[in-house]
Amino acid sequence: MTVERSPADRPKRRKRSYWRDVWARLRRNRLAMVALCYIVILIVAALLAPLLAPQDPIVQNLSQVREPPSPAHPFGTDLYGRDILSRVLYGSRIALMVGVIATAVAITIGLLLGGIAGYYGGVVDQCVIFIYSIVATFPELLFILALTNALPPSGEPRLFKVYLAIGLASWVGICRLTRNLFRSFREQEYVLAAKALGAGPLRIIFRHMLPNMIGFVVVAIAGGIAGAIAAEAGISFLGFGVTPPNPSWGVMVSEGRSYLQSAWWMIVCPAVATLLAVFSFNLLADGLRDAFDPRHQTA
Amino acid sequence: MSEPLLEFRQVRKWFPITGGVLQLTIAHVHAVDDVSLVIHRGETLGLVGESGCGKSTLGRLGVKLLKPTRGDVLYRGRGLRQLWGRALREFRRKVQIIFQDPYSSLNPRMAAGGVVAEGIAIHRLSGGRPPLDRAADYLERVGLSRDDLPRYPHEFSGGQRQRLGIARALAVQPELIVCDEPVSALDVSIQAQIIELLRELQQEYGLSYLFVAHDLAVVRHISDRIAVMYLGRLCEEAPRDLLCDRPLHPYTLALLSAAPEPDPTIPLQPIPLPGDVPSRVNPPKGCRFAPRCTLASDRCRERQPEWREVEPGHWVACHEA
Amino acid sequence: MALLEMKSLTVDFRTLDGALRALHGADLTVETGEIVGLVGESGCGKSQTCLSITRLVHPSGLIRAERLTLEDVSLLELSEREMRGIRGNRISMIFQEPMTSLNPCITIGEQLSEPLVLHRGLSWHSARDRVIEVLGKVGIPDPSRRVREYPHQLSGGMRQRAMIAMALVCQPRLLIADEPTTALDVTVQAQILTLMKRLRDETHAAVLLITHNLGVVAQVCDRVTVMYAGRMIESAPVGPLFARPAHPYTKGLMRSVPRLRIRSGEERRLEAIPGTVPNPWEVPSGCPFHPRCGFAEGICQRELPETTEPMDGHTVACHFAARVIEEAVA
Repeated sequence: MTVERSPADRPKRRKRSYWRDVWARLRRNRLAMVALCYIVILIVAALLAPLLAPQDPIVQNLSQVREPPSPAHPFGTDLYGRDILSRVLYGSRIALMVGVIATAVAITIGLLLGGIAGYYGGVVDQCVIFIYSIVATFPELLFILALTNALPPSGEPRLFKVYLAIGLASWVGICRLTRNLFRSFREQEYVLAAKALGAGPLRIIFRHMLPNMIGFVVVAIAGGIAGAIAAEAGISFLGFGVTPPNPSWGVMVSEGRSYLQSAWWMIVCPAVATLLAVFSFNLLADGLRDAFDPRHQTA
Repeated sequence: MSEPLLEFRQVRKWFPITGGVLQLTIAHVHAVDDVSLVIHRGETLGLVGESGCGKSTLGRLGVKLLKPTRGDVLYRGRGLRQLWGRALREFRRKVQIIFQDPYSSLNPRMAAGGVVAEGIAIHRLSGGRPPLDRAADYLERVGLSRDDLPRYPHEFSGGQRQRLGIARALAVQPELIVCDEPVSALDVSIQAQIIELLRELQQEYGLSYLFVAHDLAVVRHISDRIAVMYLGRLCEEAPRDLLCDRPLHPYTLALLSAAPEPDPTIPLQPIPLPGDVPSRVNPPKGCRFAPRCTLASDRCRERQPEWREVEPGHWVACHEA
Repeated sequence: MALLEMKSLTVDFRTLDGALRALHGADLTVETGEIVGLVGESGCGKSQTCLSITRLVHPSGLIRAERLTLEDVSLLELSEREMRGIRGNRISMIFQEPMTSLNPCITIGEQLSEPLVLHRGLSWHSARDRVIEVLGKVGIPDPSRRVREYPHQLSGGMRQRAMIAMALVCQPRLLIADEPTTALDVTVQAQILTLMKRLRDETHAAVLLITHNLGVVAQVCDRVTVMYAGRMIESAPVGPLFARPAHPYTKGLMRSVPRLRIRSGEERRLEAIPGTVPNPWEVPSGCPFHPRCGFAEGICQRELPETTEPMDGHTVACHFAARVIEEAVA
């Protein structure tokens, strides 16, 4: 007397894959799409900088110092005669590198420590909390400063050390998030079912918990990139980050500091670029958060 | 009487409550207290009680998802406390669990095939064939189809998801399945399908069940023996018909009288139970049911009644029975 | 004149995938002082039916009806402001989850006084006396103390009684109860059901009780309407419905429910209805139940059955109702 499967037993109507659903929801968010467009432009600019830049960003040309925006120099020139547009374009490379590398470092550490703390709890948890509580007490900028100087090898290449330092200073947020996620997912019934099935911790973490956390992690990555770009701009402006003549946007703003009245384009152009980049990644992060959350459906 | 498969021996489970600045343990929730039960091979033991009685906790203790505070659970005579490594894996295979909520007991990011094949892969039961192939067999056995292998849980209805959960448990060829309220969250017509499916599977595979539920009619239908719990303790245990026709414990009587019969010619005449269910944090001294029992005497309020066998197979914990 | 009259009520929802009809031509009558049961499984439309009466359907839903009146006043033609004057006053609703229906931050007394202050213009002070009276009526012990307590301080059963009290405080003509006992323990449920019958006898309010539990229906209702896939497929007084169901779905439901009080010697097999409730997007042609029906024949797939009245007061929508009635429930 097996119960027959009648035609009415067919599964529900809409059969969209997880990622397609997320993408569809993201697409409906206009602001997030605009942000995404800008990010794509940024990536293209970074990749094609050598082709797009009208001039070499580092070579000085003292005959065209501090010229205002013109057809020849759409963003004007700086105090060494370098074309600002070219420098902004090359600067996008630094910005994206910082974003990617620093966030990668932060995510790796954060996920690892947070995961262990959240999954095992107890003493392990307390240790991790202890560690990140200490790290979190340092003011971020100073911490980055100290790390940049302390990291071996001393001297150059400084660029990479800056990226690393920013990553090492910002893993705490992701660690906390991961820890909380693991703690709550640990009690999910399907995790218990897997345990009852005989699954070991590795299988549970990689097949049951992580796939359900991807949404949160992606959002954290987008937000992390925004934060990294802002942090780099900050310390470079102060003179402790990327050093000239590298065309980091922070460095450019720093160089144009004294010329706000006379050559405003030296500050405004890189500053706006930074602003738009940080803003876009944050908007994208918000959009992704809504897109991953199926409860955010509008009728 | 066939061999005992799963035995609870004076099992106690208390959950600590922390409080204060230092987060010290200030009290305990007495979820399960001094419960002794045996489930034999091939039988279904129904475990009934209302919310907070500890039946779900007991179910989870039975599959080692929780560890008893005191006492032990034995599988084929071996205490679960001493199981580790290969023996533990063997236990996990032989004793499975089905959950109440078909929505939260399935990983939303795992396709049906993966859900069922996981157990097969963990215990290396595929015997030459790819695990997904075997998984398809189990899907069909529970009333789903091979085409459902790549589908995700959200594409299934509640009843179908519950079938998926059953297939997952079945795929590792268990001996005993703890069914934790498997039909409570389902529509009426689907409940009947799942209950009948469970019965068929029991016949076909020689399974034993610990069937935890709050609906007495469902429990009566599927169980060989029934045990009643109240506030963490056992009140009564007897063969099915004996418990329903000649109950001895006042709580069992109250429970039976309160169930509305789907027949307007049999009117509801519930035995009144004054007061509320007491807290599990500070359970009453003496018999737990005494505060609400019409037969309660001073003796009942003073001393915990003994769990004794008043007639063959019929156990009660009551001074006045 | 019936208290509530509903004729040909339809509800259509605007969704991203097009228009979805949740209710197809629902008919319902409730007389003063009777308890009418609305039975069905998930997705059958019973909740939408009662939300339509109070016009609390989601904004994307459009309600249309030939007739929807309370004491001869058309509910669909009232303004939102006038409807607010009716909700909590002439028509009250109670829901399944008492914890989420009661505001956890406001005392019981205050919450129960609110309808009185709003609809009857009483002062908070005089409202309080009436509230204590009603709390006593629903069987909450020591009401003058409870008035000052918060929902979380009451047990589940007490909270449900408090919700019933809140619904009754303005002496409504119609009480709509949407699965009021589903989330409760069986002993508490028995108490609430006894309470509802007693209140009905004392206040002569009519009750529209939505549930999927046939036991509750049998014990409490005077008349029952069975719903399936957004349609009302059978309606009868409770005795005849259980003794001689006329629709295969009703009969199937009764056969699939396990019974506690079996007559000795009987070993009944549960006869499950095969298949599942149709997804509202994929309702079968003709009679929506035909794919799962043991009595179905060709016509069932082609034509929607008309509602007929094979016995007094007993209506059904089935091509083969006569055959269904003949075959005993056994």
